[in-house]
Amino acid sequence: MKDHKWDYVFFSFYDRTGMERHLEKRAAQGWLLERITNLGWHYRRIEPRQIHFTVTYYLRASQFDPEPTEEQQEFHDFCLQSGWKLAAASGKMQVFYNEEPDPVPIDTEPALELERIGEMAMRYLLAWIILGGVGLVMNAAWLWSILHRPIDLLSSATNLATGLIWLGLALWCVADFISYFTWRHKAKKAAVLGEFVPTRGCHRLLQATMVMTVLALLYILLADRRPGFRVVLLAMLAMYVLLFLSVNGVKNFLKRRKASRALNRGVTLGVDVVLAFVLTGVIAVGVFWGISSGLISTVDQVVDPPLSVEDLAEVKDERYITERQAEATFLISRRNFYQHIPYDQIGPGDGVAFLEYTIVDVHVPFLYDWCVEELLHDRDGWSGETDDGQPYYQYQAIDPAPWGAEQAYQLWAGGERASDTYLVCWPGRIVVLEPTFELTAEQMTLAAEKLAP
Amino acid sequence: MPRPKFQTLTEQMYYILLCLSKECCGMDIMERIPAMTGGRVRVGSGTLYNLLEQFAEAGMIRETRAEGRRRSYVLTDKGKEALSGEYRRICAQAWDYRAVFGEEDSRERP
Repeated sequence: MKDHKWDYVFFSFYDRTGMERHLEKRAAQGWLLERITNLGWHYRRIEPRQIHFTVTYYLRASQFDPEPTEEQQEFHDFCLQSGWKLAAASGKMQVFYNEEPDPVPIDTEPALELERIGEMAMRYLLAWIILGGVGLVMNAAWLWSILHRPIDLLSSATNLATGLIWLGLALWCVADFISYFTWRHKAKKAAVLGEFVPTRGCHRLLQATMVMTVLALLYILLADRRPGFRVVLLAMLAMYVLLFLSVNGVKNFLKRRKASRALNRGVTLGVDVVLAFVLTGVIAVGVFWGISSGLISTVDQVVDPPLSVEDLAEVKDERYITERQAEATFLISRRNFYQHIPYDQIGPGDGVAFLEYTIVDVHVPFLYDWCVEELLHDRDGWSGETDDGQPYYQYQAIDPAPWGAEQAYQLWAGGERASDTYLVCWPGRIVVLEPTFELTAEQMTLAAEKLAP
Repeated sequence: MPRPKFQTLTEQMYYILLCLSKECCGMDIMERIPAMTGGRVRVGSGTLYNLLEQFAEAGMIRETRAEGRRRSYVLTDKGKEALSGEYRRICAQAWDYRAVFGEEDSRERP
């Protein structure tokens, strides 16, 4: 039978009620808190019983102190005198327990508790603002992209998953911020009457965000089609773990060596900053190397594309190569094919035809119209505007019958000249076809046979 | 609106200062207050520790002795002034009560 266990809890700093209830529940299950670390809460086995817990803050303590200061020990002595034993402490947070049935609480003056938690909140305020602000901006950008660039966003596992992570973080940050200030507002009013108000944090939301983050990262690892990118992601995660362990290791080592608070803080922060720069540099160099060597790329060469120049123009040329760029999620998949002859192999006077097409498969019906809209307006920013303020390149509807499609469009330049670019919509599939030659009706039918779902 | 600091005293502040009318070890105050009030008033250890610190910072008490981590304090003139101010406030409240309900009703000790 295990005598020790870990708990991974995500309580907000002000949520003393949540923490106390959680610890009381653990004690009733036979586990008493004995250590708090950055990795979680550590318990030892005890006889299951009702124990009271108090989570409070000693503001002059620091996580860099080699051991509790005289003043902090005096505070512990005060608590011990009234039966409150120190269970564990981490930085300013002090957790006490009392086995008496109805002990006098450690805090009996609500205004003082409010003051202390208020000071703690000031330390978290910047993190709240930065994380919440960045999260909201990222989410606004994400929502804009869903509405205007759904294919770019939702066909990429990385974009989709990181969007979800930011959404969770921003939601938690805003909810925690609101929850704290709501509690503070009530607690201020109650303090005048000498009453305490129980706290209510958002630890379940944070727990859900953490689970979602892990799932999102796993999804990226499984769904991203760039093998090199998986290596980059794993390297970044390993970098974070290494940074976390190194910083904690240095801090704990200096604490064991009884280094002063100032020295420990200086060295630990120094190691943190230097290591962060070094590891970021290593990752950046690795990424550049991966991109330049083609390891981190969504482009690969295929020999049997769905449609080729040979199919359409009945020409045979060994010099043709077809590059494919593919991304897919459970919502949308996009494949881009580009068949061409490398420029260094094209001789003077060679009249060669190139072919490019993009196949977008929309797996969720409600996204279909947004995807069509994205492709219809994909080139709105190209070559400025016409005299009447309209985009220079615009699609115009054409007869979809030769394509056997529901809708078909042809791209026009400046409203006067039809180009060889077509947008064809079948149920669940949209194709943008861009040959460098004019298609006949037969070629359209042939292309449709090859590209229709 | 929370009350301005120490302009008026809460019951706990009042009894802590009252205990320190004579030199007293901080920790002993926790026992003295329930004894003085028949268990009616109890001060939590964290609250007592913080209030002693804040009273000392405000110059209402001063440290007299330190034996290891046991520190003793005594009331200063400023502390006495705050305490007597609070006493007068309570007396005025008692006076007002008597004026409304009469002498008979106010004899019972709370």
